[in-house]
Amino acid sequence: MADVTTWHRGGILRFESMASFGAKYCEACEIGTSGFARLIMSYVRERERGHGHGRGQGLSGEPIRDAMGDSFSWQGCTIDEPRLDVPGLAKFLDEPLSILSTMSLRPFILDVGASLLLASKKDKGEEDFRSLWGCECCLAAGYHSVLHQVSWLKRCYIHGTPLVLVIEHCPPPVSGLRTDTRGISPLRELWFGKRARWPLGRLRALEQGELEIDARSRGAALAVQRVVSAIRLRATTGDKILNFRASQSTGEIATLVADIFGVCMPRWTRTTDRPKLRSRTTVQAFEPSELHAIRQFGLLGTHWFDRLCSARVLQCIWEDQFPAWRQTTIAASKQMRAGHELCADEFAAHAGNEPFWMGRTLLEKPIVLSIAEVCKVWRCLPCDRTLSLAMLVRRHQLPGPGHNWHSAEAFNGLAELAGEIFGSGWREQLVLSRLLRLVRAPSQEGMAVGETVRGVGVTDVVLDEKLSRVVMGVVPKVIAPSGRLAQLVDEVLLLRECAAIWAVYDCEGATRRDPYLGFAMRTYAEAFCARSPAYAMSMTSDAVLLRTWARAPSEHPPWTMKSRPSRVHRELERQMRARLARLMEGEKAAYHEAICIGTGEARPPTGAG
Amino acid sequence: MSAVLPRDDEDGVLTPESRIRLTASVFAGRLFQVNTPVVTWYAQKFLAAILEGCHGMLVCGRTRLGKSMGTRWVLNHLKDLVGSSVPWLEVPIRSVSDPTDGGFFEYLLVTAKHKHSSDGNGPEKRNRFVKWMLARARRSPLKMFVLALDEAHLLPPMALEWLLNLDNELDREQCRLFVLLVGNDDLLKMQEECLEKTNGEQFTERFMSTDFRFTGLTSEDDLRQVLGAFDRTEYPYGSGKNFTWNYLPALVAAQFNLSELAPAMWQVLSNIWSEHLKGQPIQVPMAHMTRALVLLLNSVAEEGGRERPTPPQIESAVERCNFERHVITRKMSDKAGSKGRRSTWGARI
Repeated sequence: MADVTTWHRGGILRFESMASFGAKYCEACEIGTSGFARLIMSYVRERERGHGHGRGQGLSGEPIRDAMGDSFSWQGCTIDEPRLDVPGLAKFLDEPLSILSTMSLRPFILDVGASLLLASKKDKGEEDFRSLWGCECCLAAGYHSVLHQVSWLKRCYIHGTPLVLVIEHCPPPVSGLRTDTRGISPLRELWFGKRARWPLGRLRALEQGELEIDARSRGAALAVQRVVSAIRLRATTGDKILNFRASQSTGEIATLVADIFGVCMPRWTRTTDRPKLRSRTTVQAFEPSELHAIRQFGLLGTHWFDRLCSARVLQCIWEDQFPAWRQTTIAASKQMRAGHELCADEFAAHAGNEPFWMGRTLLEKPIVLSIAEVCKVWRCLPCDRTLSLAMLVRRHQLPGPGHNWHSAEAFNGLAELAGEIFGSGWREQLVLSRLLRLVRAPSQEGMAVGETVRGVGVTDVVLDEKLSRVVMGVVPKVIAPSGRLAQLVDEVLLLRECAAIWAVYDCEGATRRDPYLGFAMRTYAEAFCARSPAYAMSMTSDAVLLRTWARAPSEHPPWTMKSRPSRVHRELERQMRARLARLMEGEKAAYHEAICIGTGEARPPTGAG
Repeated sequence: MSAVLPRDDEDGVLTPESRIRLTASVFAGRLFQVNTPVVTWYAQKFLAAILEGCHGMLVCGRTRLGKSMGTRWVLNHLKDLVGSSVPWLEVPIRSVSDPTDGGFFEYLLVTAKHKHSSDGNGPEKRNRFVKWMLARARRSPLKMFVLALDEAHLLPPMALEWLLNLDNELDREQCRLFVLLVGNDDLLKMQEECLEKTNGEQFTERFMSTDFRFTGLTSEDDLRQVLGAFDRTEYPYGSGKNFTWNYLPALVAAQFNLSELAPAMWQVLSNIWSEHLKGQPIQVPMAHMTRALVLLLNSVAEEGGRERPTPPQIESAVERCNFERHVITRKMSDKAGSKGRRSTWGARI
């Protein structure tokens, strides 16, 4: 029989702070903070306990630093400790895991993304709980929220009343636990002490289900969304916050997004120094003035910054390499429609059934993408752009923001992929794409064509010697299409690459979990749409699908949070599929007669370049 | 215990190893309980005490009569008896050389499997136990908590004061504590000694206002009802089969009932009783009756399990269950008691 405790279900309210819970738990079980610490520590996984921590550190806070450097320091909440068995603790307390998980500041600091700012904390208690802020109404009801500690909130998210400084200097955190346990003893004294400021009475704290707070906290998630949407950024004046009663217009969010884009994704003109822009993938590459502006945005998490930079780099490559895209957007969209939309749709459809792979990085979960999963997607594609897609996928698995194809990991990954595929006898052909060339550093251009590449019309396919050895080692036949087909293949895939960065959330899922987050994602999508049709995104009932080449922005149906495939969508899709079928039928012969490499069998290419 | 036990495939009788497991689990003390006539009266008395607003009840009787088992049966069926859920805790009291309130309440917390049973000092442990009881009592529609103290005759004298404080604490929070004191006949002496003390009345009036004398089987009819209860009880739980089927599946299939053994078994028991305690009303402890029954079933199963138990088998089983030794011991004990044996209340061991 499991251990029992005096605590019972319903004692923890949504967004309640660890300090509040700890104070009431200690009072209910008549234990001190050290006993509470022992309880929490007993749910730290054994094999990891003490690993990587010095003596006495325990779960002591580790500052989370973003690409901005020291502009932000967050000591973290106990519940965020990765070694903590939160489900086990929830089971012991008989509290829903979803409620327990809200005891963290993390969602409000990180996951909401660039639209959420952490201003300077000079006029407010820091998120490390050195001082305790609260709402008098909530405290009188025995509730203190983690949102009361967020520096950029001045008002209670439930009552709207001004937050007051409750404890100016909290004692040090409980030994072995994080900074959010600083407030346990003070709150316990305030609620249950002999001179309690808000006396709750013995054991009354366990009956908060009867209190109004409980009813209100059920809607807290929506209330938080309202708070977040009310944040207004003033990058230049450094205005830190945040009038809770301020206008909560989505236009303000759009303004914020546009500001960020202005830094990370500038519109370029003929005079734009693209190589320089392309190389600016780290914070160090930015001008100090730009960096200042970015820092003023608050916590732009590393992942958001990286993704923006990645998108920018690819946009540079794309606009630089494909003359087609220098055409007007209308012309480009026409060309895109003639491309292999179906393949990308299929790709997206299968990828979109669960949180997209790229999205996992933003959610800070490990990317686990097995070869089998990739193959599963490939098999659904009607054409053989296997390796190209594999590279696409594989590339996201490589660490670091730099797309360094020169690394041994890249080649090893490619070899592994190729061996996996061809070893299984599934494919006999390897379709190379100019994408290989495009994702390399520009300095790699002009390398000698390996002798393994022969045939007319393949001079634009560049393979370096190392890659060719890898390829030849496992691939019996390599096809390097040229001409219009190749161009379309590359362009489609590159567009997929660009847009994939932003297909990071299952927007439907995001909307269900977090309406604001879903809206923020769409806002970003709209901003990208304005840049290029490459980033045009639409939404189906299942996931975010990429329809970059299918429609120019002007042809997009009206974008709302509840967009669904409309008649226009469906008609366009029907047209695309018809075109694709004709294309496949007409060029199939030419496709199979493309240059074959490896066997020495050279065939004249078909189709114009 | 698992619902599936290995059996001899030929006739479905349990293998010897399985019978040992089954027999051991029956005597393990908690998993297998049957309702006997005396337990039924016990439950009725308990229910009446609750409904009358009593704060305690004394349950005493000689050893091995089945008081603890009966108490567990009543507690397990408390919800059915009372009609709503009532939290309870059964605490087997142990004797300690130097009882303190901290040790006592820590022991209560340990018995309750509280996560923080050993944290803090004595008053903190007491408060912790009170809060734990209150938290559970509040969630009960009856706003009460039943604390069953087994072997209560081993309680130190000051324990009653501690219990009194618990009762007052719960009462202050509009909840009720009901204390079941289960033990041997020394509990009655405890009751007398309380009355002799100054202010002892508050203990007796509160926790000992109702008492119940536990008896064993006193008639053939009692034995028949108990044997029938064995027949009706599913064991192992979840197997879908009654207790007897585990030993004698062929006989059960042939409509055999254990209650058929009552006359023969009672005859043997009565003869043994009369031999040593003639003139006294017979009382057969449940422990011995159960032992005799299991011995009988095992011996019949060992011989194939297809023939009904014979009188010699029954007699042999009763002889081997040590009932005669119990009767002799009782005889000697009664003789010692008549010479004014000292109460064990508060005695140090």
